[in-house]
Amino acid sequence: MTKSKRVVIGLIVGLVLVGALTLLVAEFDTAIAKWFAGRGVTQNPLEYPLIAVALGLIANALLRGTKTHAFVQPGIRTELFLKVGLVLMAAGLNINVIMKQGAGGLLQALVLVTSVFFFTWWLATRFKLPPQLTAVMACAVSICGVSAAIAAAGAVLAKKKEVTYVTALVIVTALPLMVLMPWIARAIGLSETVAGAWFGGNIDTTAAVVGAGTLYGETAQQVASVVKMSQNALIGVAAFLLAMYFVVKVERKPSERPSAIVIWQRFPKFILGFVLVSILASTGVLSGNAVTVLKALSKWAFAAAFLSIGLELSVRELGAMGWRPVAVYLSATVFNTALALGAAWVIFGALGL
Amino acid sequence: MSDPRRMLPKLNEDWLSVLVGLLVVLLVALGGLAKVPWPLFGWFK
Repeated sequence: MTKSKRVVIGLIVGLVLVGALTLLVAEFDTAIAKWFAGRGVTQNPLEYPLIAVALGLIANALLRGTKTHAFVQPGIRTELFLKVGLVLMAAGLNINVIMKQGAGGLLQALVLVTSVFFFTWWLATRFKLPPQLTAVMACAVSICGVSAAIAAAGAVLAKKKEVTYVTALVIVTALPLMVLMPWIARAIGLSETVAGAWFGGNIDTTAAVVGAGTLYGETAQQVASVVKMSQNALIGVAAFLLAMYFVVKVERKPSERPSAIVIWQRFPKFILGFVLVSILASTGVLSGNAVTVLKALSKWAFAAAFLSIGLELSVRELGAMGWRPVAVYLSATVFNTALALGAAWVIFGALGL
Repeated sequence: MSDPRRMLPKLNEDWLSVLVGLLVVLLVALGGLAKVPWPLFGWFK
């Protein structure tokens, strides 16, 4: 069998597998909610993001144990499922609300991205990490995890193993945060809006942001998603500025300055779909029944994305570079968590944006 | 990076998600998908 044929078959088998496991998540979710309801617990403590990730992790172990993980890998498309889910979710959001929350999110993103980026950069320099790894890590932790790591890697010509390493760190850190942050937010009594802004400003992968928001409530899920997308929109600007810095300062080749087209190339285009669907819903083009169906479908897509987080997780890459990058990344995450809480509380709580 | 072209499929997923999302919206708006029974819409509704 040729390699391309194997990839196509792997894609189909992988997609069918994700679909079947998502159905299983649905069945488990219904059964567990019924079990709790039968015991007088109306709020199911095991919401579907947790079930999906857990099932994904079990399937991941089985696939790796039977050496079939690499074969089905092409069908495990976390980013695709998540972005489709976000585009569909917009059917339930008014465009004016998105603009209002987006403005607050952008303000929060500007504060967080600059502070966390330079803190990570400073810390990584103190720990003597290579400049390319520093740039990839600073972008990943300050903007939006995997996508930002890839954009930064392209801008500074980082090694593939550096990107793989940071990607593994991002996912390993995001999973516990997805579970812990809603729990902490509930313990300190945050409103859904402030909690959503906190999740969106801190957790690095968008899938885990949506997962944390879902665990906290519908409003938290929407705010977290919009705030995260506002942050994601800055990827292009960061990639452009980084490329400029590396060409002029690190490699000292000012004649090879990058073009500003990078800003558009790196812009997350799914945000355009998100805004368009919200406009269609806000102007009444989509009926009430269509909106209900689209919201249900977005949850299916999210369930597939959460499942894929568990399916994708790999910790093998983490041993490759020693403890120093891990220490930098975790310290930057703690800094980001504290700062994001303060920023969310001020911008979405005190200022009421 | 050793081969930046290998990163391209991830970036293209952006446009793919817009296309798939809008296609689903179109099908739902035209009433096609709303008539499909369980298991598509029974759960989570």
